[in-house]
Amino acid sequence: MAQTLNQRLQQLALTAQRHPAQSPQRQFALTQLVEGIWTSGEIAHPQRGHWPGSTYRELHSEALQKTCLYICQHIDNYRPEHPVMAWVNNLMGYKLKEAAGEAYRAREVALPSLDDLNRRFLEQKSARSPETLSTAALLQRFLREDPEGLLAEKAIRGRPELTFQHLAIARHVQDQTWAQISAETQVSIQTLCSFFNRRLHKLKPYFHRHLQA
Amino acid sequence: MTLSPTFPVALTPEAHHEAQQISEGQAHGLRAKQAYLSSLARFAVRQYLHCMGLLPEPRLPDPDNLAMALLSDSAALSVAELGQLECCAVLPGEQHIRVPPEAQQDRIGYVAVQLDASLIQAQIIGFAHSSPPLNQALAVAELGSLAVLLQHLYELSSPRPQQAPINLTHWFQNTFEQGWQIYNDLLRAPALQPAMAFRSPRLTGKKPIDLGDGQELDLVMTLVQKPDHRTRIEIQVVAPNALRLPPGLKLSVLDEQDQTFLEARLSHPSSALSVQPFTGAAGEQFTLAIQLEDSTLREYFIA
Repeated sequence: MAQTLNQRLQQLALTAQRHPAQSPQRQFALTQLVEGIWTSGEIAHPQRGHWPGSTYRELHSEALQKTCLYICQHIDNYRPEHPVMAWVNNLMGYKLKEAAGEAYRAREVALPSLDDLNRRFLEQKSARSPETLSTAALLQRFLREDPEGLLAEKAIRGRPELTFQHLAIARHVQDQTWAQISAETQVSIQTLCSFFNRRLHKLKPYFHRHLQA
Repeated sequence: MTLSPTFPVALTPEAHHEAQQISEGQAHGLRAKQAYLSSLARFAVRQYLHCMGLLPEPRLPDPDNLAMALLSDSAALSVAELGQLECCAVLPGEQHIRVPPEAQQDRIGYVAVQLDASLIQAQIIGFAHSSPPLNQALAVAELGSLAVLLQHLYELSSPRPQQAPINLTHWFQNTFEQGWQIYNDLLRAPALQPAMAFRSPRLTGKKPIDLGDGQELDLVMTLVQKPDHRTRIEIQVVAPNALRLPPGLKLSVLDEQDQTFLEARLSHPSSALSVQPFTGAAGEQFTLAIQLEDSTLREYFIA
């Protein structure tokens, strides 16, 4: 006889409870529990009529995420006399209101789908807003001007011309690939990237000082 | 083929807002799109690890991420003190994961995130310990499950046993640890060796080391067996291929109590750096620390 949905979810919740916080056993049981909840087909849709379909779909998915986060964090509160989905759906009511409250602030523009992105970035390159251009332009200017001289401070050992600045301009302004830079400089991609990452990490505060409005 | 279980994450307006900010820094269309998608993948992994109690409540946009994401194709997520996880977006219909060159090294693992076409929802689908070789892709079907990811993070966070020390007397019995190249150097001019020492069993071990900036150095240890189970130990770091070692490079030898008893520091570029030779009694332990700026490499030995 196959387990019912509730038996399966309950078992996962109890498994999670049995293992200490932060243990991989608890985490794995919670992972399975959250997947089970999302795919249960028994999730309530509170206040469905209050928003247009696509907005509601986003709100519902956010509310479900908040619900699952709550469940992961408070799994020890679960009592097996209640079906798991009753707990979930009770939480969904609160979390949907919470999501709607936040979304009211954030959701002025519809979220783009993958198709929207393709159109935006590939087909209508020229139609980008001036604001969009300026972020990229600002970064490019910063890379060229290097106001505190830190980008050109260090170079790959034995290759004084290969500074972070040189590599960042090649990558970011000239849009070269690492393979192209490697072929041009005769330095392996591994060495280039290792140097670049290390410097990038060190230069983080510098970028924060200059690139954040 | 999908792995089980997968962890679903909602891509909230905040996630899209962060992705939008990051993609705006990209001047080139294809990379802007990739940056947007990578940012969503990173958001999903961060959310998953937050649910698992492994990361605090995410701040959005994540200031730690901005500079990195603007200047690198990598979508790396720092997990406490453990290191960086690379987050790899998988689009609908894709069966493979590509890892940008920047993310081939210095990662504690690779997490695959399936995005749906609406970009409303993502699924954390699997994990790989290491990156596929440059210019190759990793099949989604070959990924490890999320159980493997969780176990891996757990092991990284548990106190690690100290790396087993290398027993130098074994070298004289022709037993060498991986990475070491040992050769008898009777042919080397014994310029600084008294005649007696020259006849003592003597060998040199060499191992390439990397302090993390991609420049390989050679660690060279010369051992001379002395009477009474003692060994004379010479340690130096050498730049291969006639290159120069960077100033600031520091070598320290520490005793069993972790106290420094020998130290050498390079003040100007040079091809080699050595500490004063010393003698160890059989069974005595010591640690060699090789330091450059903020990276330190430690090697443990038994004389």
